[in-house]
This record gives sequence, structure tokens and C-alpha cells, in this order.
Amino acid sequence: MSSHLFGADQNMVTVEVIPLTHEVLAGESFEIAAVFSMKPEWHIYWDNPGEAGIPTSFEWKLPPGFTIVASYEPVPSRHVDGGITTFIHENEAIYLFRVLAPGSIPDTSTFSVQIDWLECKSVCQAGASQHHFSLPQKVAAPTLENLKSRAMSNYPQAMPAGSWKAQLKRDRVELRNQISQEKGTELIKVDFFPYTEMVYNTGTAVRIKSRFRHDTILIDLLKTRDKDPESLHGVLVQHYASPEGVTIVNSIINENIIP
Amino acid sequence: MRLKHILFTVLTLALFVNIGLSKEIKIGKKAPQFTLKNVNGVVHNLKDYRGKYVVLEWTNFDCPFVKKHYNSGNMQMLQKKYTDQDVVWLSINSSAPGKQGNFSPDEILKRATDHSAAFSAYLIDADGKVGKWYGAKTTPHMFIIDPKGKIAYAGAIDDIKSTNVKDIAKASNYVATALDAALAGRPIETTITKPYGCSVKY
Repeated sequence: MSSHLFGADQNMVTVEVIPLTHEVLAGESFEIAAVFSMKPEWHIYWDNPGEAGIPTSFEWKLPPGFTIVASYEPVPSRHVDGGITTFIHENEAIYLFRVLAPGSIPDTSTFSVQIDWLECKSVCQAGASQHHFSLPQKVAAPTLENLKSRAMSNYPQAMPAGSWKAQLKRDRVELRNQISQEKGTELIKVDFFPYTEMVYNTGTAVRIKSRFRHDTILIDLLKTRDKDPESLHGVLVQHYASPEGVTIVNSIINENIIP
Repeated sequence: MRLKHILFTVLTLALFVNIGLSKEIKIGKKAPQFTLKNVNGVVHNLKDYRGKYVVLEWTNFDCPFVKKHYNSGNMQMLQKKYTDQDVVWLSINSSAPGKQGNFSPDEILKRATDHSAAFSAYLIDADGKVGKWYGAKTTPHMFIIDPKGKIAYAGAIDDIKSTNVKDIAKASNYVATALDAALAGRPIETTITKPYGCSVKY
């Protein structure tokens, strides 16, 4: 179903493209997973790769009338090497694409995708592969359900509107929690991965300032930015400690910034 | 006396901290001055090139993005085109010893010869000081310094972030566009872009 085209050292990162359905129904949607498996310490890059690297790209060839209506990428992690900060995926990353079938479909539908990425450890090399598959096909349902469940657990969820208020303060954005923390719960760690490049200072750590059970997150901006951001749009990762343990909340935040 | 000593130490420390953390290059501001040696041990001082346009090209011959521009002949073409117009082109390597791109002088000379590189000099910044003064993040990462010693451009070599050689012909080359404008006495329209490439191996 796939072929790994090139790379100086092959098999550091491999990709499988798996449709999460065994048949296509006219007018209905289904998902396709691209499962990246990375050897230890090797990584690929997130949508905004940070200060180096490039994001993974997918060039789809879909049957006539089919469209991709949504795509999902796992939450990244922050990687600092030699003072350079990047946003990466390591070990396993499952991208998901939701495809909508047209109202009328043929007996067999053929899909292909060209995937290009940059894989790095202490050295970097380009990776690429082409994948083709047809539907319908015979695939065990539990396998697909497990894969989808594994994928969805790593995607950030939309943050409820109004739960944070973002304000611009000179060279940083202050994000203030509008909801009091429950007693005994503490925000102990936070990170922010912006979708916008060249606005946020990705090289400085995101900081927490807590007061009276309301947390404020401080996100530095680049002094060389062209203009101030109008909204805070990215992935916010919050680690909460409570007597029950640590809970990690991954959210997509898209909050207007008050000047 | 002791107070003066403490004050001096604090001020000196502050100066070094400021230099070390100087990661955000500002267009129109003075380019950080530096002195680096080339592969033959010859010293190159940036201030010696005052009065000329200077291109700084952060490089690592083993990085796929640098390979894209060198294997295609694109980088050499730019080097030749603009050094023929009296631009000084300095390729700088800031890879730390033991890291990708940190080559022996013989290897550098071999690679440069194999590529028919046309830079004015290949400078070695193994401790990464100059790279960090400029905030060099990627290979390649390009800077243009004007004849007055000020930063005129900083960022990517072109506008297609890929390792695909076929993208070079389709891309808009920021460095060429900037130099063509500057050498013709026109203002540079795009002065700062996000660089793309492998991380500099500090």
C-alpha cells in the first residue's frame, strides 16, 4: 500500500496510510489516518515547526467529487537543541483527514497521497512516500476503532469560548483564566504552540502567574514582529495538579486579543 | 574600591549577557561586528568590508536544504552573480565540533571545490558566537548588510520551504530580489522573512 521513496538513512520514520472504513457511502464522511512511526530520538515537525524545520505536507489525489472537510494533527511537544526551539512530533504521530463522499459514487474509489517531511535527530534528512488505496476493502473493524481512538486522544479540543481573556501588554500577551480554580487544583505547567509564525517568541518559555486561584499565562511576542496579533490562536497545553494526580488538558484556543 | 570592582563586574556581565542573548536582529540597525577565520586560517573582519554589500549565508553542507541549493547549482549561481558585482559573500558555518556540518579544513575545501562554490570566503564559527549574535537559526539563513554596515535583509533564501530542487525555479528568491533592488539604488521591499532549513548545530 505504500512505498518509502528516499532518505539518506531509510526507515528512521515510516508512514502508513490507513482508511478508517472498509466502504464508502454516498454523501457520508469517513476518516483516513496517516500513521507516522519514528525511531527513538527522531522527530518530524508540527504545522508551525518553530525556529527551524518544515511541517509535513500532504498532496492528495482524491476521486472526483470527494473533498477533505477537516484535518487533525496531534499536539506537538517543545524541543530545544543548541538554543533553537522547535515544535515536534516524536515516537508516533497520527494525522487524521475527514473525507466527504459525493452524492453519487462509483463501485470502487481510488485514493493516493504524496507525503513529504523532514526527519531529524542530531542530523536531518528529507523523507517522502507515496500511498495508494481503493475502497471498498476488507479491514477488521476493531483495528480501525482502536486506531481512531488512539488518534483522537492526542488531538486538542476546542476551548470553550470566554474561558480565557487575552490582553496585549507591550511585548507579551497575558491570558487570564476567567474561571477560578477548584480548591486543591493548581496549574503547574503550561505551554503554547502558536499557529502564526514570526509573531510569538518561540524561544522563551511560557510562564504562569497565579493569584487568588486565577491564573495568568504570559506569552512573549517577538520584538521584531510586523504587527501585533489580533487573536491568540494556537494549541494551549495545561498541566493541572490535584490530589488525584496530574491532568493534562490540550486545547485549541482562538481568543481575540484586547489591546 | 571594592564597590567600583563590583560595579565593573556587574556592568561587564550585563554587556556579555546582552550580547549573548542578542537574538532578534533589527532591520536598519548596525550588524554585529565579528572577526572569523576561514579554512586557511586567514582572518576576516566584517568592518573591512564597509562600503560594500555583504551577504552572510549560514551553511551546513550536509543539511538537505543546503544540499537543495548547492546540488542544483542555485547557491553558486547567486554567489557568482553577485560577487561579480562587488558584493562580498561570506558563507559561515556555526556547527559545533562533533555535530553535523563541522568539517575539517580539507573536507570543507573538497566540498567547496566539488560544488564549484563561489563565495568570497567560508568562515568557521565553531563556538557559535557569531551565529548567536545574529540569531542564525537555520541552514541556510541569509543576511544582507549594506555598505553602511546595517542589516538590510534577514531570513529565508526564497519563499518555498522544501527540500525539493524542483521548487527553486518556482520560488521567488528573496536574496536576489533584495540585492537587485539595493544595487540599483531602490529600496528593498521585503526586508525580513522567516528562514527555513535545518537548525544550526550549535
